[in-house]
Amino acid sequence: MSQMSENKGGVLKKLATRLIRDPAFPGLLVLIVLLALNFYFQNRFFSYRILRSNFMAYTPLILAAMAQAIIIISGSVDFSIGYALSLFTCLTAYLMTDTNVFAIILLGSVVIFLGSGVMNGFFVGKLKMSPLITTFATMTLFWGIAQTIMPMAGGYVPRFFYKTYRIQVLGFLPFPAVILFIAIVIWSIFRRTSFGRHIYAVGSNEDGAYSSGINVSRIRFMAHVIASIFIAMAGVCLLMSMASGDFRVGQEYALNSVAAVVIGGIALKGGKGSIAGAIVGALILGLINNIIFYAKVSAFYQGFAKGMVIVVALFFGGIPQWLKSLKA
Amino acid sequence: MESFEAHHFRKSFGAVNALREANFSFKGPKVCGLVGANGSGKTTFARLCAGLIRKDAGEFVIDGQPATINSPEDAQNYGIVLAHQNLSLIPDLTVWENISLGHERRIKKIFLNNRYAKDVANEMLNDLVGREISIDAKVSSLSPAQKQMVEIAKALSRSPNMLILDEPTAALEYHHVEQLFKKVQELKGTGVSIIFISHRLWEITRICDIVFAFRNGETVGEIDFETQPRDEKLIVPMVAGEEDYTADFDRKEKRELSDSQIVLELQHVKYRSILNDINFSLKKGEVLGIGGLHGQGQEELIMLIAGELSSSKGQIRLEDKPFRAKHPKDAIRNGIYLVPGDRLEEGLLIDHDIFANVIFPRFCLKDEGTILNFKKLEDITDNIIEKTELRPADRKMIVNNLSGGNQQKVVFGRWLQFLPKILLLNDPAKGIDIQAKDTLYRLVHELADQGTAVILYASSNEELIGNCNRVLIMFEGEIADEILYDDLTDEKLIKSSLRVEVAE
Repeated sequence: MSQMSENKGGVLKKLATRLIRDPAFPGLLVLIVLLALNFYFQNRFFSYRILRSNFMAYTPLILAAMAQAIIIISGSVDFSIGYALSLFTCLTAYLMTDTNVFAIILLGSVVIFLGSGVMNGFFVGKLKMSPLITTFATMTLFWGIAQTIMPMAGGYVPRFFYKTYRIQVLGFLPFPAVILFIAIVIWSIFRRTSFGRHIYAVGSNEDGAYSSGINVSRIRFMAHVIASIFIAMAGVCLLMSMASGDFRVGQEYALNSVAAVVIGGIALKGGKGSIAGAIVGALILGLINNIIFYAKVSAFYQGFAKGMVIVVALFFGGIPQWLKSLKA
Repeated sequence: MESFEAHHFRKSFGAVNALREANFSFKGPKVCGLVGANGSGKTTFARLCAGLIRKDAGEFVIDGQPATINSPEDAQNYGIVLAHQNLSLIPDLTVWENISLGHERRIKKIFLNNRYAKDVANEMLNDLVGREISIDAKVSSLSPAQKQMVEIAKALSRSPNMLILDEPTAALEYHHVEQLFKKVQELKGTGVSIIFISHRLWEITRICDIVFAFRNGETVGEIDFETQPRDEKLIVPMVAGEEDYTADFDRKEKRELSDSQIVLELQHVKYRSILNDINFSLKKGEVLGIGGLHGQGQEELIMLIAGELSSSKGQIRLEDKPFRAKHPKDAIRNGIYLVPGDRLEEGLLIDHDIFANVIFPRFCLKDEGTILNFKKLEDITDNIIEKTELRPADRKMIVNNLSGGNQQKVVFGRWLQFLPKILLLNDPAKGIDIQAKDTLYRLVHELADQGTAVILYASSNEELIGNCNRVLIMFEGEIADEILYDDLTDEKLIKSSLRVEVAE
């Protein structure tokens, strides 16, 4: 009996050390602090209505950060995520002249996002071009097309479509939460395939992965393509929540997806970190906006305050790496 | 594997002929040794067999059938597996994930079978090292010896027909080596052939059935231990060569140093497990060579003196005062200058001009004012360009556009604006043309004439013999031998590097 409880204590201790050593742990601490602050400034923070509206607001960024995490872990990066989202909202809102062309949404998401994933993946993976330059170029391309289609925010989105985003599944689950759940399930499936392991190998030590018989360029290519599934989900959620097309949304998502990943403890040089970390990072970025709004920070200082909090969060995220470099 | 033949292999990297005429044939299962001096093409040959690089010419015949090996997958299909010298492990993955990497067993063709992978990892490692390594540990947390054992376990888990071990024992402790040898014999018993690459001749004579020797990319001999005695002394001449090239070397005159004072003295210096109890002293105006096989701690020794690495064990004395460089700037401020081994990574601001590259070390000097005297600095640069015969002689040239030899002149030449107390040269003539090499060594000797003490690590014996007053041979982090000017020959250097007694 005593031996059993001892074992149990051992398991708990093991889990605790694993949690503390997880690269996402500092981010998790920051998240808890932010949740407490949020509750302090906005007493009804944990009420169902507020939680639901937060889910609606954060889900696109969480999905974009998951996509960015997959790409960064494989040793690449994608700055075009943001303007791919822009292009998608503009194109669909422009084409959707009436409710009957609903199918265009699905088609559009598949074509635009898989297309951008294949394009980026081809340049980065197969042609071994710098991901920074490649995705900067594709980003500019998407931006240009989106702005040409719809220079001003607007367009038409059918009522039933954006209303869907606001329904409660089974009477209590916010719709975006369901989408998020599906995304997490999809990733847990990938995580259990050889692809899920090989992206870490390729991102961590490319030569080692190659001599272990891994097709490095194929894995990088696949990372961009598979990430585009999550970007497509983010795009649909974003369109539902905005109920219009706007080429300017891209700017925010391009950098915030990278920032979320870094805050979540994923190494920019690849091979390290978890998708859960990216979710934590995206939540932190979302909550920062919330706190600044409810803390009634003057509009003049909002940018400054937001920047400061992000710097602090990045600092915490960087501490484990820094400690490691001291040891070496 | 019944038989393995490799005929007439050639492979060059740029202008370097790594393999010229490599032949390697045996009927298995056998344990085949492969020996050769630095740069004789052993690792290139191993990588060719494993499909990691493509041959320029040559033919494999496996079990009597011609075989094509152009990729790691091809090699895998023939059951040829290489345990790398520069490990192929992924530091961020666990031991068991690494062992199964690239050939994961899957359930229903989709999901990774982790239980199976862990079982295999446990089985392979238990066989080799017992319970010493936990399969759940991250590879980055392991010691070099443990990593090497994981690398071997990874190779074994691919059930090879032919296993290539590229210098597996260099990083291992004695008891690991014993376990590895036991495993090698066991594998041979089950019909697996092994190619065993090592510099340690006593290991070759102990476990091999046959040994091949490479010299300058050519197979120069083989010894079948079935018919010939297991004697290290038979292998040495194949590795070292019969002819004595030393006579042709253009040697600098012997330096008279008996009156010179000691500039640098190392006492019991250690660095991690790489350097172990280093003792030597260096005199003013001396050109001291550091030799030995690759990776015996020579580069670490030079980096330690230059402050690129830092160790608290042992003492370094500079002009009879204790000296410890915690940072390269400490060395530079004390007149110790380094010409690093990798000029592109460690030596140059590649996108800037010659001028910027020449003057930038000045910024860590204390007495350099805030406002630069550009006229003076430009004169200094022009003077260096003239002295080193830099082409094109234009201080505005971007370094990236210079040839390798001229780039090296920039790295080296920048120290000519000061009078170095100690000049550290880490393989300075690597990949540069012969004229640049001549200029470089001429300037080194000019500095030595003015009292600079020089430490030269060179991978080519010719440079050591041509320029040094004496050579220290390093072996496994220790100074194993000292060869004085009068005894300095190619044969002697190779034999001493291999740690076999030199027959007088």
